[in-house]
Amino acid sequence: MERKVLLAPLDPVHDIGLKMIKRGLEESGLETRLLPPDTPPEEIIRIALDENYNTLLLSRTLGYGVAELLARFVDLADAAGLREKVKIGIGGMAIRQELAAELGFDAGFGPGTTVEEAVAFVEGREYNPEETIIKKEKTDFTAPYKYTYVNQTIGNLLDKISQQIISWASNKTSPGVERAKLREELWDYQSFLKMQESQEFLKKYPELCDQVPKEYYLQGKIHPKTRELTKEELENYQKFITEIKEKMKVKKLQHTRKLPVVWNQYGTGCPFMDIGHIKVSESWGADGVVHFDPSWGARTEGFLGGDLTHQEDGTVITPNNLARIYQSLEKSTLWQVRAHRGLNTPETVVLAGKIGADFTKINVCYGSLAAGTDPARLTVDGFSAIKYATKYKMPFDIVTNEELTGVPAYKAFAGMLIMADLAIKLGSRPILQPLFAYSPEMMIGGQMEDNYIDFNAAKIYALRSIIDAPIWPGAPIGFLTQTEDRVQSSMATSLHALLATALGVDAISIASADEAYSGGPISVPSKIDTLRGVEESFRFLGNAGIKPTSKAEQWQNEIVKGIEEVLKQVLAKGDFVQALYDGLLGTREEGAYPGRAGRNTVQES
Amino acid sequence: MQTIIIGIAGTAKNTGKTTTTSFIMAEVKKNEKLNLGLTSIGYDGEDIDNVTGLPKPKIEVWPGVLVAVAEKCLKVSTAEVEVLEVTKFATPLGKIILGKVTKGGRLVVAGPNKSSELRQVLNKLRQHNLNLIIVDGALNRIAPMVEVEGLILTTGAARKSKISDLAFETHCMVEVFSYPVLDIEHNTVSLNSILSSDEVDELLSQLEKVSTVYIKGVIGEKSLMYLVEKAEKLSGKKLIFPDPIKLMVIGDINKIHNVFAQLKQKGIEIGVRKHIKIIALTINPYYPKYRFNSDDYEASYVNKEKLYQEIASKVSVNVYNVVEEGGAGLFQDIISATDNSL
Repeated sequence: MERKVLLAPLDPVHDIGLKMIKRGLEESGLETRLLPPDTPPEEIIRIALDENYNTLLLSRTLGYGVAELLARFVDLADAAGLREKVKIGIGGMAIRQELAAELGFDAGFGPGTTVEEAVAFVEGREYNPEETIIKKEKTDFTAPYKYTYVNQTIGNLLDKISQQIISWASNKTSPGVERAKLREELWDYQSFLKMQESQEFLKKYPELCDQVPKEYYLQGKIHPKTRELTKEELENYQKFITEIKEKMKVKKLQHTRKLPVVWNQYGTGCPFMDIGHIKVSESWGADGVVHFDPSWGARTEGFLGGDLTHQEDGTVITPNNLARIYQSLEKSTLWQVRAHRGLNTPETVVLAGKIGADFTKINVCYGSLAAGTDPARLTVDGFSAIKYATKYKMPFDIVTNEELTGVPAYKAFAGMLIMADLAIKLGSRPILQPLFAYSPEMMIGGQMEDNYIDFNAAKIYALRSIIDAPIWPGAPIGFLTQTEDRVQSSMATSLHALLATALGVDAISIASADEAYSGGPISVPSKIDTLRGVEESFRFLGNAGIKPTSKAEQWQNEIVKGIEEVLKQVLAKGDFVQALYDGLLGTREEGAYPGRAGRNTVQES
Repeated sequence: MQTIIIGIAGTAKNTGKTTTTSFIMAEVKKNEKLNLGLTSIGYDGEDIDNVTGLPKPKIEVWPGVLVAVAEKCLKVSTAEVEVLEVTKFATPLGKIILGKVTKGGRLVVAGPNKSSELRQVLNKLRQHNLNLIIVDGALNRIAPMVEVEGLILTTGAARKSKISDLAFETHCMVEVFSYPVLDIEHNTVSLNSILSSDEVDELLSQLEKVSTVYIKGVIGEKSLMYLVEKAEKLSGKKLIFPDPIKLMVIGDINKIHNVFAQLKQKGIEIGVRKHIKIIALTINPYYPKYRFNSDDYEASYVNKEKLYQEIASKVSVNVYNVVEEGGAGLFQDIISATDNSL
């Protein structure tokens, strides 16, 4: 049967949407007629009746009294007998199916309506949205890199420093390393799921822990800052996951480029709330999610067990919490479990690796200079952690957040490159993580007085001039440029994403719009703010670029020179750990204080 | 068993359709012998208004109530419904199903939204030995209400916040619903809808030898104005419409009422073929007030006593503010109207 479609904008001006649909309908072989804007309702109805149209598609932007106006149109059409002969659809920016039903239409077409959807409506077919479901797969963005040095001088310096670290660390151990070993040898994820954990593990593990975890295992005492989720909460949790998984649809943020991969962190303190956040991140297009633990967890020897929640930043690492979170992830979602800074670094890598994490995060320099862990302890633990990351095939990023305390970028980069080289030698795939931030160095030095582009670009250029390795600015991008104003904050994140994309980096971490000022768990709307903002920045940029000023090249050279100088000093010291204590990778004046947690716990093995 | 079908039609959004429905339902629930059917031509029972973003009243159903709703409503309701039949009638929210409530709770009600489908769905519901079927309305929509036997008209400040204007408009509406039922005689000219001046001219050219004009569909507002200009040609004849609802949909009801008054003055007898009774009026002092500063709406109210007095003084049917006085009186009016065979 021949199908004729009448299109009419019930609007004084706008008919672009209908013109687009009209083109699609014609390409599908349908006969169409578009009436001019502002044709009176009775005229539209008369034409539809007289000329035997099968379908009438209207469009209208919503505003004052428009719902009533549309309802009146439907009533007039109904009373005139048109509804019995002609299907009527309504399209517009504010149209949703519920509103279309309420207004009395046969279908509603909101933003994102595809031509296929309109054709299906005209042809009386059920529209199958399966056709438009985005297929998403995990991306190993480290794969294309060879980890070869472009700057041989720096490569040679790093080679010697790494050899020194390897020879120093190889015959040392710590409680953290021993726990990781125990977890590696005696703990099995599948047995854990069947509630058949090794008795030997449970017997030996508490002996390697601090008082609080020890009391948990031996006396069942809960950490005073935490509580167990109740049975009812866990049942609701399971119900929530089952229900939400049924309706989950993932989305892609990238436009015409495949990269950067976009990461979002959760860590609300509550694993239940985390999953809500993760599902939002997935639905709004994040490619990966990052688990971070509370700061007290990093200063405690040993992990707790159970389904623990608390009202602090960071979600407690327990096998239960990680397993629940892992099971809630969509197949395409990358999962990173941070291990970088504390007394449980190697064990975190083992636990995350066994449960199924894709990425981890390790940096001895940051963890020992700006996150409170003793340099010697974290060097031994970091060395062990990198080997487990290799075993579990988990690439890891090397964060340079010591910049936030005031350590200059070149020093933080020198530390990052030492870790990267060590990782390469241990068979791992490290990812460089320069900060995209308005760091204290910039505030004091004035390099960002004019723009946020040049210095961040200089960082990327500098790293690329040294080594062929993946780069993942973070974490999050735009650190210290965001304010409590959600619009400003989202804009700042989106513009940094724009810059990162223009610079061709592999991944970015983005914060929610309220992350710096939330005063509690971050909110879902704020999370969506930045995901949408970043999506729009990708759309805006496409394959175009951003041109930094000549300052970027100047600063690139300065950074590279600075890195080389620092590495020479570290090498001259002949002792990487001592170099950390002595401030060669960040001084006390720069806010880098060698940590105390785990001091004097390193032993010869 | 005779099934009574009543419609709850509003003059605008937020005039109290769902609240009125809920109060009538509460009265039905008190009488265990009564079997209730429920549907809607709109989308009711949601938490937040689709347009204003303000909270909305909810519809609570109990086991045994028969409902005709779109498939997707069931997913967002807390009430549980056993599906008895999936009809062929498609809506933006899926096909209309007939179902029986098995577990009480909140129900989102979006049903058939056009006359022809409402008629067929009501016929299906009728087969289930129901005493009363309530058809909840949508916004200011009224066309599908041609399928019901009696109407509860809801109006209030959400329609017009100036009480005197609202009272006058309500008076006009009740008047339109009071036009007499007229018979179609042999020498009648029948036309489908009149939606252009050409069609008016065509009608006028056929008036010789006929005493009655019957417009089977609707007449457009501009066409009606054009007809008024030529009204003397219709003098002494009858102008009949199928039902008062066909007059309600023409346009601004004050204007329409005024035009028909002019036609009557020119010796034209106006009437309908089918009478639809307004059983009662309910009024609502609430209205969503637009806030320019924040581009959203806030809840506001007009003086409820003044609203009641002005409207009650201008109409010939009972007026209720169900939130203030409950649904007993209104329900009694429905029963009385039923006894008088609607």
